[in-house]
Parts: sequence; C-alpha cells; structure tokens
Amino acid sequence: MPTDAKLIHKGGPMILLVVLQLGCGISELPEFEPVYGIPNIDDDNANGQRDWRDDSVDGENDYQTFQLSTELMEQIEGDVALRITQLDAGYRIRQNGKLMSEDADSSFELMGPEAQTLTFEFQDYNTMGAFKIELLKNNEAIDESVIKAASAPLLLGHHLQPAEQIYAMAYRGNGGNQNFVNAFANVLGENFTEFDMSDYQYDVWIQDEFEFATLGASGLRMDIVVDSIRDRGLDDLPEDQFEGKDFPVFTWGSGWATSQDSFGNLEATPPITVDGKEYPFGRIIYGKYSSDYQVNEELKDFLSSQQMQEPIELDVGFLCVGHVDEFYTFLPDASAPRGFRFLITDVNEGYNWLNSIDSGHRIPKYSGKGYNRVSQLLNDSALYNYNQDIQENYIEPNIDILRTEIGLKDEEIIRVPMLFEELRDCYGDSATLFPGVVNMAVFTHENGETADVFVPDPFFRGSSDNQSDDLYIQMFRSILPNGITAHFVDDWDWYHEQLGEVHCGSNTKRTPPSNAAVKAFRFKEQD
Amino acid sequence: MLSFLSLLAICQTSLAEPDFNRIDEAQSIEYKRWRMMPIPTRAGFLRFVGSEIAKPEWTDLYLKRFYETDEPISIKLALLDLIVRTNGNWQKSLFNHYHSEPEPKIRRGILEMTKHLDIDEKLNLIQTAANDESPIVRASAMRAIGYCPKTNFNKELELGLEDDNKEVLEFAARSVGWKKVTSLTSKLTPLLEHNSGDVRYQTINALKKLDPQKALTLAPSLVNDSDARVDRIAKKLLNIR
Repeated sequence: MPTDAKLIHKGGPMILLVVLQLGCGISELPEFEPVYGIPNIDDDNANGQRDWRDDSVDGENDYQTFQLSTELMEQIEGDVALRITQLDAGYRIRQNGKLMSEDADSSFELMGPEAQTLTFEFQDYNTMGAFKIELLKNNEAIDESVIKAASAPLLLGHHLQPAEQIYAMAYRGNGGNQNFVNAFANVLGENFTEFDMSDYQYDVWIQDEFEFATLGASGLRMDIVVDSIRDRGLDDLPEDQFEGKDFPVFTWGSGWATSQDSFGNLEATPPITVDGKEYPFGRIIYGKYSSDYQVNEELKDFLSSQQMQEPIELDVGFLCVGHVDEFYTFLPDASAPRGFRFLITDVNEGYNWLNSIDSGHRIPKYSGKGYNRVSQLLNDSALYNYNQDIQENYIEPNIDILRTEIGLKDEEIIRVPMLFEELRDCYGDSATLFPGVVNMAVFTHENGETADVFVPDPFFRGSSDNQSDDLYIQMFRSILPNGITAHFVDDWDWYHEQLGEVHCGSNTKRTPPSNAAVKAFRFKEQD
Repeated sequence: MLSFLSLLAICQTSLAEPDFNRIDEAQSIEYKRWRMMPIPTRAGFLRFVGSEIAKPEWTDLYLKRFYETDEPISIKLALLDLIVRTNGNWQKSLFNHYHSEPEPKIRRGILEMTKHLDIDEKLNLIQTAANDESPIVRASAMRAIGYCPKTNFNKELELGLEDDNKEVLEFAARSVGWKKVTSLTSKLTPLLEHNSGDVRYQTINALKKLDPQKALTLAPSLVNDSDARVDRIAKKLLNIR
C-alpha cells in the first residue's frame, strides 16, 4: 500500500505522479500518465525546413514536458538510478535542452535529488510510441514502467466547435461585393477579416483554396493550413496571410487538380457515436463526382491515416462544381438528440413549399434564369423531371449513406426546400436554382450550442430591397433550430451566379477541441 | 479610380485581347461593356459578373461583340451566357448565326440558350442540331428535347438512341424518360449493356419511368453494377438494402 501519495501539478501540462514509498528506500515506481504532444512540424525560425529537422527546439509548441518530481528524484541517489529507454523512433527526448535519445532502444540514466524535466519532441502526426522507465538498484532493474508517448492527429473543424474568425475576399470598388463583406463585418466586427481580391486575381473562393486544421494536446495548440492543389488565383494566400510561427502550411497531393480537390468538398460532421463507436471529432465528408473526378489519392490517404475522423464519401455526380458544401450543412442545436441538426436540400420540400405560396408571386431576380413568377417554376415539367432525378438518385442515396455512416436519424434531419437547375455551361449538371441556403457560413459561439449563420439571400421577393417581405426567408427562419441567428447575405452576383454561395466564399477558423490528444488516445484504444 | 469592370479587364489580360490598359474612366460605358472581361466561376468556366450589366439595353452591344471580335471561345461562351441573362431580343439573330457557325462549342452554346424559350424557331434549331456532325452538339440537342415537353421529337430521339457517342445516348435516354416516349422503350433496353455508366444510369432511370415492371425485370442483372447509381437504382427496385 502506498504510504505517501501526492498529485503534483506544475504549470503547463498536468503530469500525475503518485509517489510510492515503501519502507526506507524506493522499491516501486509511481504511475505515470502518457505523454501527449504535437509534432514539431512548423518552421519557427523560418529556415525553410520543419523544426524537427533543426538541431534545437526553439518554440514552446515544439515539445511536451514530462516531470519527474522532487519527491521521486530525492530517492534516486546512491546505488539507485532511473534508466529511460526509448522504445520507438519518431520522437526525441531532451533533458535541459540536451538531446538524450532519438532512436528506438537508446537509453540514458538519471540521478536525483533534483526534480527533472524531460521534453518530448515528436516528428509526425498521429504517432503512438512508448518509453520505459526502469528503477535500478546496483544496476539491476527492480521495477519498470512503460509509458505511452503519442502525438496528436491532424483534425478538421466541425460546426459545433466555436468559431474564432471568418475570412472572405473583398472588392470595395464600383460593382464590388460590399454587401457580402459588410454583412460579416457588421455582425462579427473584429472576428471578420477581409482580403483584397484584386491581389488574388479576383478569385473569391476562399473556402476552396485551403482548409483550417488543428493539432492539440495538453495545453499545446498548432493551427495548420491544409493548402489544396487547386492553385487558382488564391494560390499564394495561405503563405501570404497565415504561414508563420506555429502556423504551417502544408499540401498533400500534386499534379492535375479536379474540382473535388477544392475544400468546399472537405467538411466534417460534429462528434458522433455510431454503433457504439465514438468519433469524438466527427467524421470527414468529401464528395466523389466519378472515378476520374474525386479527391486526390494522396490527400485521401493522409486523412485516412489520421484515423480519428474516418472519411465518408458522398456522391456529388449531379453537381456542376461537385462539392459537398453545396447541398448540406450541420448546425448546433442543444435540443437535438446529439446536439446538432443536419440540413439538406430537398426537392420534394421545394415543390411542397412552392405549392403552398401564391403562384403569382413575382420573383424578378430569377428572370435571367427564365422565371418571373412562381407559377413558371411550377409549370416547368422539365425542371420537375430534372429535380426528381436528383432527389431520387443522389439526395436520398446520400442521406442513406449518412444514415449508415453517422447513424443519422429522421429527427435529426431538416429538409430544406430547394430546386436545382441544369446549367447552360455544365452539360447535364446542376447548381441550386435558388441561392443555396444550406451553403452558409456558421459562426458558432463559445458554448457550442448557438451560432450566427450567414445565409445566401434567396431574393424570393418582388423587390430586392426588403428582406422582411421575402417568402423564402420567412419559411427558412421557421425551420432553423433555436439558438441560430440567421443573417441573409447578398451573394447573388459574385457568388450564386458564379456557382458558389456564402460558405464557398468564406473560411472559418475554429477553436480546437479540448483534450484532443487524450480523446485521440482513447479513440485508438477503442479498436 | 478605375471602375470595377476596368479592373477586371486589366487583371484578366491573359485571357483577352491586348490594350486593356487604355481603359479608364474617361471611356464611354459602351466601350467598357465592349472591353469588360469575365472571370472564372467556381466550376472554372468563365462568366461575366453582375446584374447591372445584364440588362436588355445591352443585348445588341454584346451580340455585336460576339460577332465582330475574334476573342477566345471561352469568352464567346461567357458572352452567350450574358446575352441570355439580358432577357433581350437575341433569338432570331443567334439562331440565324447558328447555321454558319463553324465551332461546335459555340453551336452547342447557342442550343443551350434555348431551354426556357417558347418559340417555334427553337424547334427547327433542335431538329437541325440533332443531325449535327459534332457529337457535342447532338448531345446538346438531346438535352434540349427534354425541355420541349409538348413537341414530338420521337424521330430525333430514336436517332439519338442509335448514336455511337455515349453523351448523345445518355441524353437521348434521359429525354425519352422525361417525355415518356413509350414507343422507344425497346430501343432503350440494349443500352443497359453499354460500357458507359452514364448511359446505363440514364437508361435504367428512363425505363423506371416508362415501364416500371420491365425495369424491375431487368434490375437483377444491374445489381452490383460498376456505376454506383445503376447499382442503387437496381437495388431500390428490388427492395434490397
């Protein structure tokens, strides 16, 4: 039985040491908590290589500490010593900045009486290694403890994580997108940042160019920009605006990019449990257009290798652009069974809704698409056929995939009235006919339960000016979960007519999940 | 300060004719409309941005630009898109032009503009296009037929179902289904063995509408089809989860 047990919490990460003393000399090692770290993959000193390759560590985020307490080390004297043996490659152990071990099976000894702090520097994402501490007496091991040393996986954000900042491209000259950026700026203030689109060849699709990801472990945080191989006008933006200390930019894949390599086609579900298996960070969702048009294999392989957010592939073969953000989203809802609702565009609901309103209702904004009144939408039999095909052969099957893969239940689904149109320039493929309201930016609040959402203005009204008269807005507000505050954003010219919407034209940085590495560690133990 | 449209023109010089730097505020609005440039959509093809530029009073200017410049096809297609959006009177002019247009992508572009038109000239154009030498134009004609619910295009559709191009077959099958041309059901069935998944998908989808019982009979052979859509439809018909 232990005669003396203490919890020792020394700044930064908490290391739990239960010091066991038996009689007058130490004969057993205490229990040690695993070491959770983040890989040292950034480039703090901007020397053009990952910090792991440097000779020394130079940033607080570069390592995780492991404390050997005074209570323990005071007993490590005379003929008693501690031997630390690294059991796997992929990390380094330092003592007072001096490299002690970096290969499997290398070891070193420690003596008391002063407390010791070891630092662990990890090479890569999502590694799981171990080291051994042996209690030596006269060079003979009388006790040993094997301790896990794990690095955090790269995690994509989901809509239940608090948002910190939304970014969008702005052109504030004549004919520019002031309405769009002002809608964000007016609500979010300092939590909104705009970049000048004239610096980036008027490429407004900031969602597509990169995805924010995070690494987190016991007080450590690193934001990462996953830079797509899309490489259009915004190609340089991640390096220009984000790359720096504790904020690296990485790309997986190379060569010819399909539309599916844009990151409007890379999203994540909220945390879920499916058939008893817990996904504490949700699951990644991306779309496949066809066997020739899908996410780059190298990126797929990397995302799968992170294990935590096991990807799900949906069929986006009906969409001209072909991104998953075009037809669904997740919103926080504290009253929902799992804390979220799944909003998906639904053609049948679209027709039901159109049939419920005045067929003579004027929609002048849609005249360029061939419709001036609701009746014209309802009387277009080809439009009806086109939309029925999409609902039956793509929307419902995609819902079925999610029923299986994320355990989606009917009560979690909000079917959002919508129609698709066959595009003149896309030869069979579609985009939403009305601005795709589910293609919204979600600024989730600290509590993870409420949010401001920035929704494409549907312009389903006789006059462009007055949103309060808009029949679609009235309907859409009524189906949103409580706790969601919707702001309708004019994205018609710069986004909707250019085959994207608000989500496509914005990008959101979110707070990483708490205790990510600990949860990741537990996740791996599930399997 | 340069106007937005002028800025677009300058930033897109790689897509355009030279001398955009000559554009400034002193130029007339007509000149700016003449010189403005489209930008890539999210899908990659070009479109002109803005509702202000898509007004009927600009239709003639855009038509003139379309006819009189030798701009790249991608810009001419963007001009066609803009011309439709103006809701102006372009139909007669472009339909006449169609017959002398040598570039199949432009002929297809003009056909794709007809979707919401309710005029007889459109029907003649589709008939002509159904026999075009270019498969991309014939495919577009098959699509356009689907948007003519009241017109009998059975002859053209039958021709489409015998085409050797998979895109033509795909959209011929779709239009047969949409228009419920039951007389062509037997022409559809062999297409279920076509090596294109797109063709098989549109075919089983059309058969489902035309003759559900026949589709059900054929479904077992389509379970586990390499095209996921075909597999899904077959399993749904057979109530296999």
